[in-house]
Amino acid sequence: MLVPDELSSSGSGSSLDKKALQNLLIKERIFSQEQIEKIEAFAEREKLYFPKALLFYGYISRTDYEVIIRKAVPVGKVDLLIQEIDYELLMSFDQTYLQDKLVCPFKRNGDYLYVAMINPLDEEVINYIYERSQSPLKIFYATDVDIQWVLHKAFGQELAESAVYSLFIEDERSSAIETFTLPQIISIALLGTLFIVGVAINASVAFTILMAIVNLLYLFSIGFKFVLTLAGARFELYEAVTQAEIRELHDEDLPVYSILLPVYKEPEVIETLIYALSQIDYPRDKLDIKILLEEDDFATINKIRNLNIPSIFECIVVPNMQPKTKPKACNYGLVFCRGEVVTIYDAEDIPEPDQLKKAIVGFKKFPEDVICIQAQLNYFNANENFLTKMFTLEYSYWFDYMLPGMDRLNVPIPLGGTSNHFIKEKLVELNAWDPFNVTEDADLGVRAYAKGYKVGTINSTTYEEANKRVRSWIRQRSRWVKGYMQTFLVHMRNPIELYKKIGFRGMFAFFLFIGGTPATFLINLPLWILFITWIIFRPQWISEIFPAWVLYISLFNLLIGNAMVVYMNMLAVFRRRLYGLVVYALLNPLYWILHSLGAYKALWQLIFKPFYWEKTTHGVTKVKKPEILRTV
Amino acid sequence: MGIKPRDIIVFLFIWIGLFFTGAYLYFNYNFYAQEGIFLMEKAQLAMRGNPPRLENLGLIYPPLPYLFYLPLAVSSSPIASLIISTFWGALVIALCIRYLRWIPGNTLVKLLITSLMIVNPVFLYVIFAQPSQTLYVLFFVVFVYSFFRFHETRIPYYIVLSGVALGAMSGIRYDTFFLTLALIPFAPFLISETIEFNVVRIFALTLMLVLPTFIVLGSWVYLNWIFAGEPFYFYFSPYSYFKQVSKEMALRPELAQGKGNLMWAIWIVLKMSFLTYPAYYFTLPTIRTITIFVAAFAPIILQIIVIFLGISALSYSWFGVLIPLSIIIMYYFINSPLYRPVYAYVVIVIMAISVYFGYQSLANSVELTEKNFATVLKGEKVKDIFEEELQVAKFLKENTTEKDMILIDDAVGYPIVCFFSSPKQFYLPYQYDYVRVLQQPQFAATYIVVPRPELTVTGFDQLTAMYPDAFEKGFDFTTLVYQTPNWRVYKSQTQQQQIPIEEQ
Repeated sequence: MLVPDELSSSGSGSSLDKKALQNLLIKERIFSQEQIEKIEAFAEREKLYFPKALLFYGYISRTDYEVIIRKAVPVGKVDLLIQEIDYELLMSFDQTYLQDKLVCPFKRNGDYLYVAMINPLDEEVINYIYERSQSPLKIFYATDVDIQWVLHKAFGQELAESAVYSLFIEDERSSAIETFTLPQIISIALLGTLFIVGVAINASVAFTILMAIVNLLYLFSIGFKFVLTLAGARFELYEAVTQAEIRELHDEDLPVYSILLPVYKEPEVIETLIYALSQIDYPRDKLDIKILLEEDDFATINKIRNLNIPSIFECIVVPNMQPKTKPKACNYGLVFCRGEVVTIYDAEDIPEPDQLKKAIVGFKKFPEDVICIQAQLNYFNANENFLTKMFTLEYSYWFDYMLPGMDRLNVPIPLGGTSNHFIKEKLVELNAWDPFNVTEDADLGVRAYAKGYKVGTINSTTYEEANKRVRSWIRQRSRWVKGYMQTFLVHMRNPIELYKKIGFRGMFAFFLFIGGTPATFLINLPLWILFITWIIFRPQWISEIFPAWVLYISLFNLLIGNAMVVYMNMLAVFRRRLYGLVVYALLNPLYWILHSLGAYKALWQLIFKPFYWEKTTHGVTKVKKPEILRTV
Repeated sequence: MGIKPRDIIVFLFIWIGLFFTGAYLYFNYNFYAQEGIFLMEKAQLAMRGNPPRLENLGLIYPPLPYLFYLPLAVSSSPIASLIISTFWGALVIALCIRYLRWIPGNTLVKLLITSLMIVNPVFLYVIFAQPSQTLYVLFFVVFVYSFFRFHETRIPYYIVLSGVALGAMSGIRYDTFFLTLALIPFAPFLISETIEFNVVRIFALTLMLVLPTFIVLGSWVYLNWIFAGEPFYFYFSPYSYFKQVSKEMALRPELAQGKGNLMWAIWIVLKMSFLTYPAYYFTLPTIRTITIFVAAFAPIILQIIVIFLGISALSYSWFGVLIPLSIIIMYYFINSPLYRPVYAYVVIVIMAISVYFGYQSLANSVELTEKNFATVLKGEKVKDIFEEELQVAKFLKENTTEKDMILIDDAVGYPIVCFFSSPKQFYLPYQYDYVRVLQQPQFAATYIVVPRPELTVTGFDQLTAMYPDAFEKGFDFTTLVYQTPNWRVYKSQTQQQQIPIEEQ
């Protein structure tokens, strides 16, 4: 029913009043008077519209709210996603008011102005619209998601553009909008030409030099990782934040905490997400959670619309604009954040409940130049299959040993994709995330370090779903590797300037991690093929490109180097007591093959589809929620 | 506790002090490391040999000490070797000083303990005369200390350190492999004494502890395979360390009786270790946990095993490892319920007495260099151990040109090669066609250097093996041009055509 008769109003709404909703909720015994007053006080304090406080802070589910509203006021419900919208009409109203009150005049039909409202009982809003339009109104109920969808689509274009281009405008050289700069293209071409000429003149010498460079890269990489691992492992029992320190926090002193949740085509994980959010140990009224939906993601939007459980989030709909990436969505959502601290979680994430409080303690006790805190990431479906086991080992090693090692040795920390907690003011100062970089987190970590800021680590874990399918894993990995390549290219546009900013240690770490990681993945396969060819056929030409000193370095890398990396990976099992995985560490050479495949895909995409975001499919695991909770 | 600037200053101070002491002993008493010359010769072959390649180090000997000597390939002076050995020695002392700093107790006690460690004759001998053994001591100390720390803290990091140290030790001495093998069945019990019983966790920790040894030795087997064509070349080679040690052991009846005889092996090891450093045994009984006791007792266990297997030419200086280990044990001794402050002074007195024991064990040793060191400590000069080789090298230097090739076996002739300092002029066993040259030396060598056969008894010398009368009678085509009591240099009278060196 699109055109209700019962509430065809000339604008006076005499049966409605400002507190009609509150009274209704009391009358229906949904809340007591006291509870209503408490919610009202909160809404007033946070300058929130009362229905927003109800819906976005988990006091009532969306479906229950709809039932109550439509029972009290017999308005029709309108599906704005399929409705024809008169955007010109819409944009003639004050955007701020429409956003505040979640009201959406969406079209005219004859003399009537059709208006969708989250709270059709609100006389004040009805009168406002009437006075602005001087038209009789037809009121409909619409979900907050629907109204947000229309409003963001209408008014969000400018913001979306800013989300896409602000970094480019403020700091062009730091934007990955351009993959290869002209000097870089010339340099690559020159190097390539030099190599080809060298091969033509003396192939043996040319390949020898190449092998020497490659093997020295491996040698330094392995040595550096070994040092980092020991530095991180030594303080395995060290707790950056203790429970005692958390207990000393007072709720009233806690800042508002914004959480950005970019989701895209993930309706199946929404319930897990809501449950995880509900477990967060933080005052509800100090949470500011934004689910960032893409304009064309109808599946997820529908899921949210029909949620029958209370949920603590507000929907922000990101207008459709290229590049369609997570960092762009986060930049857009950041504008609406009210918190002093901001963090990001992915849709399938399950953070430990006290993570936010640990981050707050971290910011209090860490030096002032720490503007970001990275929590640890790990997987709740570690034992599902071989791939998840290896993935868990990898993540455990990285977050439990390498990152603390980097923290100890004061080298730039490439951020993880989620669970980075930022001081919002500093994040804005850094121009937030680069929407053209598919590992915007790694890039942001480098930019922060270049500006003299630091990233700290805390002893708190966010659990994610490890990819259990090989093809999906390779797609995900290709995005990460591509992002590292992008980050390397961006920051190497002026290496001298970068060196001045981050110093020798930072440059060394940057080269080895951001540049060295994709390089070693790419080089691995050819080297293994070379080795196997030599083992079987012993061709003379291989001996020629490995003179003595190169041969010995490469043998060291092959034997001791690989063994060391595997050995260090074995260490990863201890902190999380994943002892059963220790033997799987020995199978790392097989796992590395997948890394290489992902890297080649990344290289291809870097050239032909640099901004393409390989979407990771979630919700595939067979691990059930109770098991996840036990893990957490 | 990270490394502080004062730790570095202490280390540098000790290093410089040790170096100048060693240099003083060399210039004034003719005492220097025989092994250092051996290591430098191998480094020269690896970096400047004909052809220069890493397997010239000899795939026979555990590789780790040699790798540190590669930068010394440009030198032939014993002083150069001293730089490396005193570096490692200073590291051991500096580590022990750090540990001592954590021990509660007054500074005088710590100063006395440190001083008594540094002046112990056996410990000094190891530093000045046995570079690879010094490196071994360094890693042994790290291994034991890390194991102790794991026991205290339960942090797997320390098991990793322990495992890596054990792996490094097997790159210095093969017999460490047997220690690892012995640890495999016992390590789970030792580890479980510290932590709650969890089979998988204990398995994982045990794996972390023993895997590095297998990695190092596995890599070594692989390198033997690709460079020598035989994965266990280091065992089967005629120059094999195991063969040499077995021969040396056979010459020492007291040790030889221990082969296959466990009780005798235990007896001889306990006796020799007690005579070398009795203070060690006064600290051991204070340890109240099996884990720490076994770790602290590991050197003794290792020697018992290798004597039982018949692959040890044990000397008193081997027990130099007990001296820094005692420092670590002191920490647990002082924290033991049995500790009384007066006990620290008792141990200090015993450490002082151990200085005398150490001196006596060196003076009464069958090893010439150990005896020499004891003589030097009395303030007497000793004969340069390589005096003759130095003279031979000098003669060759003065009488050969760059085109002259010299045939020698460096199994015993290595000092000559080292002091000559131009390895490209030698035909040596590491070259693939050495046997061909041996068979027809008249077409290849200008000079042939032959040792007295008695010098090669415990080793293997291909030259002497092929020409047993060469020392006395020379060759049909040669004339004797130089000799010392143990060396003779023959010059070929025929035209030489240098046999091209083939690469495999």
